[in-house]
Amino acid sequence: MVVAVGCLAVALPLAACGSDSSDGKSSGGGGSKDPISIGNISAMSGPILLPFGAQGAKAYFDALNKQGGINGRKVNYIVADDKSDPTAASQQARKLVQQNGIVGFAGGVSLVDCTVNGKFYQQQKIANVMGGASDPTCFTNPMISPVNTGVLTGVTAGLYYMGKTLGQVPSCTLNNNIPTINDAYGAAISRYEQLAGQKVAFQSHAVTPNSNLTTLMLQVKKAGCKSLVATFSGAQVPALVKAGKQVGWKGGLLLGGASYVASTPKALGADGEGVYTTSELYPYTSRDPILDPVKKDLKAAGVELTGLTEAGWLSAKIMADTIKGIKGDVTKASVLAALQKLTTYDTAGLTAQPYAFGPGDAHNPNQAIWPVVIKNGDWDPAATKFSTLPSS
Amino acid sequence: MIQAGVSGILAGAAVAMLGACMVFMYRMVRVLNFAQVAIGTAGAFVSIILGEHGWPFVPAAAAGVLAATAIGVLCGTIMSALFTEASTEARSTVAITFLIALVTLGSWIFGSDPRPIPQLLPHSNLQVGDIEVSAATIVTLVLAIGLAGAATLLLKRTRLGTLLRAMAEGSRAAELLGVPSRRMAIGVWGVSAAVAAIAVLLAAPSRQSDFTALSVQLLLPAVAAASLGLLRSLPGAVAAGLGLGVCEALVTYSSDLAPYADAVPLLAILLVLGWTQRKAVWDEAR
Repeated sequence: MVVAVGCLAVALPLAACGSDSSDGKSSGGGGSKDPISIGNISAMSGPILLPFGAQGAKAYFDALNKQGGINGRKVNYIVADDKSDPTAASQQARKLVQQNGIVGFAGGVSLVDCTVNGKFYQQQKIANVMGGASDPTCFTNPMISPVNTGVLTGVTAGLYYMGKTLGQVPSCTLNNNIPTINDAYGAAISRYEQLAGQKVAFQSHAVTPNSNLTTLMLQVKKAGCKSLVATFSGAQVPALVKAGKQVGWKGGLLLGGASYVASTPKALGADGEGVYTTSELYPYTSRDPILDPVKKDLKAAGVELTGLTEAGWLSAKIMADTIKGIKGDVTKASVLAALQKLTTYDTAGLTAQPYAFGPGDAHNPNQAIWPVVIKNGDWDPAATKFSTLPSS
Repeated sequence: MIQAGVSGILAGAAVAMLGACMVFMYRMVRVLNFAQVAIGTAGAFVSIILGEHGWPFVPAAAAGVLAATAIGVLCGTIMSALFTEASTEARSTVAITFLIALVTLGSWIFGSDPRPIPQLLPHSNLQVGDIEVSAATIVTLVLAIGLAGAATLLLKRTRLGTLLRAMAEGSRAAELLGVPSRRMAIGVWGVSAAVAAIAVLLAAPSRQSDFTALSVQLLLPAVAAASLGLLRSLPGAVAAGLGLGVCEALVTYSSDLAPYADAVPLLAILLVLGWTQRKAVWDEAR
């Protein structure tokens, strides 16, 4: 009993501290020269490693801090590991917002964050400029605006590029079996059919890591598909390409953004020549000076340039530039208000359209892909500009 | 439809080889070896890494099979030294420990990036009427059936087979009669590991190409094949493996059923358990 009362006596002031910090003033904001705390929830460990957005964002904030920070205040960038585990994601979000007093999130790449914490972010009214979002709920939350295209818009844009731009029709698509988004895949495909005025000849959202890809490629061949958009994991891509060759299918293949990594052309070897993938931002394998500011910060931090580190860097820059423009206290409320006024942000060519957060209930400002193709064993931009989806 | 079924034979034949290995080990050394696929995958990945370093396929594959054999021998040595008298359930639990250790070590050593998996046989197809059968399918099918036949003959018709059966009946008693049970048990682990490595090498080009996925994905179908062989019959396990491969392919071919294709091996295991345990359930009900 004495112990319980003692615990209560200790816990109450702590809880009070927690509620003080939950408005984002105690450590993240204020008119002082205290550091501004910005959070990130990413899969830093666990079965699927996605630390890249956090690495890119940290490289940007490190460089910014060396130059004096935001209006003379250093950025305290706190990266929390969700391990792709919903319980961990939930705990980390509450810790960051209620204990660490962050003023917003930037650069996160997580498979569970939006589904698990989406409502919490709305209750807390805290903004999240995600680096790499795949879950459709990341694009339908008023508090979240990712910088990347996302898998669903990626499917629409991929089909549009292969079918409408390259004229390889009919197009077909194979996607992972994720029951929560299978209907959304259907909507993404319908959107392509509406925009392009073309029908998808075969679609399957039944691919699992154990699927017999030879059987699926037989169906692709039987349906007469001239092009195929396949969005599943990079580790399955070599088997898909081999299965295509096995059944004698000779169409054009475009992979999802997850395959745009250096290991894919190596794993595909000679079979990979002519295989396309999707870059959701400016292609990181391009030698264009557009990427120089990104490369400079990443190099200084010893971080490898990839699509996701580029996305993390960009989301950190958007968050920092937004905070820079705030007059008065930097709190989660003032950061959200500033982002809700941000309807056009020039990304200096890193995305097809200007980035937007804005006041809307759903955000998916990036409506384009840049197709990249394997040429001489490495990724090479397949076009000279983004392939942007028409608005209607 | 028939072509879709044929496309499942390659995967099914690899599963058949792994299932037959599991039955062989269960009968000879009293262990349901859950580490069978992981040991084979470790060997296959040694081949892949050597291939990345410029080794031609055949020496790289041979080195991979040898590496798997060495891992099998190591596991067999541990099992023989520490768990000879343990129950089958306890020994099978030790095999699960081997599986966890191998998957952890393997993913640490080989990472999660996709690997360039060499194609053992060219993309050549044999045309039978309207049906195309790949060279890999034919070779794997012949290997699986040949393996089951050879193992059955070995056990029934050779002196080594008699010694193995004596060991299986009672390791300690056989040892007292001069049968080198311990060495033979370790040999069974080594040979099964070598066969598992060959099966994984044959199946790998059509599978997810990272270590963890490859180690785990083929395990459930292999256990299902061994179960359908009632953990006794080598030809039964091979037939079951082939049947599972064809069934999975046909289910995948059907748009409505495709999302449930992964459940086929699980369903097979449940059916076997239901059938083999029916008497106990009925007895209890009476």
